[in-house]
Amino acid sequence: MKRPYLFFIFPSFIFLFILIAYPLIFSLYYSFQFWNLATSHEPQGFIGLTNYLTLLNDPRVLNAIIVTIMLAVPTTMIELLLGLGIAVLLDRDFKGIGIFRAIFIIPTAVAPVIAGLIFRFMFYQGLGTGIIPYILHIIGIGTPERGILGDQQTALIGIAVTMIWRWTPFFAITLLAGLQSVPNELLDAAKVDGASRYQIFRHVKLPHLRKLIAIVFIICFMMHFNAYDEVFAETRGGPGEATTTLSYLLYWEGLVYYNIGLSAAMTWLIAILLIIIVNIYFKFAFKGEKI
Amino acid sequence: MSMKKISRRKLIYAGIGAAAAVAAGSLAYYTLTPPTAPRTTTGPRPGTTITVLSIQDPFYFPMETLVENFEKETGIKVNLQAVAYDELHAKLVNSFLAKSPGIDVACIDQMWVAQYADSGWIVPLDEYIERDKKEVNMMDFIPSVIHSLCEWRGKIWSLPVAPYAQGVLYRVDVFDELGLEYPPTDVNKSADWTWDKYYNLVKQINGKTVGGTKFYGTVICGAQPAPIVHMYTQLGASNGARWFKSFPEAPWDFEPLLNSSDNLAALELYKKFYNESPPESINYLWFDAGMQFGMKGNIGLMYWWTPYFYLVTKAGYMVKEDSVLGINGKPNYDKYRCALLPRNPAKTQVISVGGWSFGIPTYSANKEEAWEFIKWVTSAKTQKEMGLCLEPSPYQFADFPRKSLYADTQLQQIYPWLPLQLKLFEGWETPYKAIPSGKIVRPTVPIYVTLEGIYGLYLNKAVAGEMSPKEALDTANSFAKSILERNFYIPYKAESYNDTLENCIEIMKKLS
Repeated sequence: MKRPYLFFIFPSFIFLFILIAYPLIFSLYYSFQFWNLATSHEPQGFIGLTNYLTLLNDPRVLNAIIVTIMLAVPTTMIELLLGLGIAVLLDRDFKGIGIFRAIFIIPTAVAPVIAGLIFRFMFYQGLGTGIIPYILHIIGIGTPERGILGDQQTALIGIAVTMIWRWTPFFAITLLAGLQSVPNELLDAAKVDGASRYQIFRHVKLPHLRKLIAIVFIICFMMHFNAYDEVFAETRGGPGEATTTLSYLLYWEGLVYYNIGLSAAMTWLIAILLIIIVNIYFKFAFKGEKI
Repeated sequence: MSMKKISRRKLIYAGIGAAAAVAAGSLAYYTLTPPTAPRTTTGPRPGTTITVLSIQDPFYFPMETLVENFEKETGIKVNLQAVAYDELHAKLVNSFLAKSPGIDVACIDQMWVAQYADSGWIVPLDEYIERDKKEVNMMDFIPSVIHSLCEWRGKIWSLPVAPYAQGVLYRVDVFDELGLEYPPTDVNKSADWTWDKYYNLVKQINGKTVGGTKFYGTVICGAQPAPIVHMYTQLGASNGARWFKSFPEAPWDFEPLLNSSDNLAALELYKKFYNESPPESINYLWFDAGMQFGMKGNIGLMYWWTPYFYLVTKAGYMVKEDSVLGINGKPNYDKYRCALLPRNPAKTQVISVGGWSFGIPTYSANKEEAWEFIKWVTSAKTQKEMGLCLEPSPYQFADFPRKSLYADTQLQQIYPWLPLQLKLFEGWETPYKAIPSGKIVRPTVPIYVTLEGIYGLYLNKAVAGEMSPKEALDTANSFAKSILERNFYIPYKAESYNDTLENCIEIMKKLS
């Protein structure tokens, strides 16, 4: 045997293949079937692309794509900027930095549905005013009559705030690790050359972080693209469809309506959309580079 | 020792072969494994542990407190699990699809009974009921409750644990202060109690300050999809709106009627109610609306599910502290009262009936023990104990499925509205006809949940002002029609069943 190691990794390979491939093949197969548990508990036969066409002709799907992108892109960008700012502030030694970092990561560790519920109460306007409308009123910023989560214009912002609260610390801690991995030789050389702190950050540290930022950004973007828990806990997709994301719509089709065929098709639609976005992103973020 | 060389191609072929064998084996096991066979021995076995999966509605809490009585009486151990509404359906269906014997007693929303029954996921209880007819005392159950919650295509699939109707709540102090006439509780004096009159009262109350509190006329439930559908459809049905051309009476015709003129008029009225409600109620779930009346205490008049008749007396869900409408742990019936629903004099009054029942999954290996539990929890004795239970929150259950409990003086002392509540469940013939029916107000067909999703969305859009009521109902109707066509409801070729209350009563009699 030329490469005996192949023999030893073979069982793991098979196990992983089944684990990954089976659900994919299962969902792909059923995306071409008519199978709605509200009609029958068994698949009713092959219907070609009907499920996909139904989705593409459904205005709720188009709306959900727009809402998802409007939520995921700005939220990830804001988290990146805030996280980077915090990482720069924390990139120094001071007393209690270890404890501070440990506390700082707590929001990311909170379950998303719990974070959603916390913010739902913090946004409350009717049943005992929540802290956020209260503070906004004190500083002279009015909130909508229907409440932040009840108004078409602000509900998505409410969801975004929750996600930013959860994920900014993740960005900050990850980027802080990146900043601290910049070789001292480079920093010393820059200092010897008379570079200011800004110049060191701009021309030494930031280029060093570029790949890390690109990877963390896309990971968080994908997580936000699949946003569901916060939407469920805070607005249930409303008011109207103002906060109905693709994943929330998928949850309804799959786990409330139990339209297995349609939800399988929607899963693939989301996956294809995400693959296209991620590939375009990588093409620009890592132009001409090997990653 | 020589080692035989294995080529890479062979290795890949072997891998694919092994993967296919594992997949085929799993599939064969999944499809060929029969559901656990029902036990042949009769009678429940002490020492058996049954799993009861329940919703955390008010009935759950006294049931949880009292379940040790069942364990002591029968020797059967109960693994009582409670989940939220959305999770319950998902857990049940996933368990049924996996043919898992993990759940012995399933808590079932009325909307799921038809789907579970048609799919063969729950067993009919007719034989059990007939066998234990003396214990079950079927005719003590309120017929509209059995009809709305438990019966599908002429069989009884579950027994009710907590049925709900819809009625009116109002603040006595506000009505006194403003010199308004109380809404009626006596059917014979309710002929002129109309939705127009209700709206006029709402308008007169809205914005007034009583006892230092500024009052809203009413409060609506606006969150989509289920909460708004639950509240709105009561108004719609009361004003003559129907979901389909013909259901539940045979022959079934599922041509949707969501954009009928009756429904449009009702939605316009609901929108007016919203204008007299707290603005944020567009996002209110069930409990938010009830709590605005009780905990916040700034609503003059509202209609809602009957559990809110007692829930409003607490400062939060299942807490011990009284709200402004509670006193010494009990409802303060001098401060608020319950009343009959208003009506549209041109239409037959219909009262929404909903709630929860318990059934036995087909794949349960402990059906006899599950049946013991269902008999226990739906018995008059246990239900009364639940109504008198002080833990975890005193007097937080009055949703009795049995008629006899509504005449119980001990219960009436705590829950003075019980005779009125029974009236809402039973309906009446004079001076005008009122039909209690969960199947008319929210048709319990398997596709209901999908339709509710669409309907709720567009009701919410109309009330929020995002669309006009007409545009919203036209869109909802068109969506509903396309869903019904895709799912073989239009044209409906399966067998219809004349699902009337009268037919259900006949079934109940047969099982008594």
